[in-house]
Amino acid sequence: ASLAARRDAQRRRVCRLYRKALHHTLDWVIFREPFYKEASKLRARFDVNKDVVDVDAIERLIVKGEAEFKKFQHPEPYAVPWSPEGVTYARNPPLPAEVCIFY
Amino acid sequence: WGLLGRRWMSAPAQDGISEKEALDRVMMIVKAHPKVNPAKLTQSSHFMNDLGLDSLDVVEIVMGFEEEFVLYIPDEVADKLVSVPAAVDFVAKHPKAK
Repeated sequence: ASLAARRDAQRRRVCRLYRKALHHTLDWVIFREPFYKEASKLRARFDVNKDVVDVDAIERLIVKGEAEFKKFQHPEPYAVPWSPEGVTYARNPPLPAEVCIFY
Repeated sequence: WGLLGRRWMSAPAQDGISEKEALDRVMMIVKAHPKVNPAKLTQSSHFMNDLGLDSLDVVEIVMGFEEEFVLYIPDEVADKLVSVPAAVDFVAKHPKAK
């Protein structure tokens, strides 16, 4: 029972690590064709350890992966402008409905 | 007088996209994934159960959504987008989907 919960949590950690790694790869490699190549390489690296069953081994692999991601992450990742990490976040908040500007 | 009562310096109203357009584009993105069999793809496919995709494939598809609709999808929300109707729902309701 708790084993399934641990595996679940590990699955989620792996997915988030993969997601962040993909986004930062796109930040380093800005053009699409090299990005697809790098993404395939990244996916192949993740797939090598696909069939590991032992929970502790998976834990060690995840920790190693996250450490490597910390080393190689992009210093200024691109974020969608209106997102909380983006540039225009809360730049022009919508005015309340009762305010009208008259010129 | 065109400026009278118009809040032209504040954020414009974001309407998002219609359900039908969201469905079309979501299906297009899922079809573009190399591991997806387009014959098996229906409006209510579940990525992992019906299409036999891996969780990492789902991550790739969600990233495709993020890029296509110019959205920011936080991790907790992205965990839940595991089927075509869930994705269409999310995109159609999002006010900033382009």
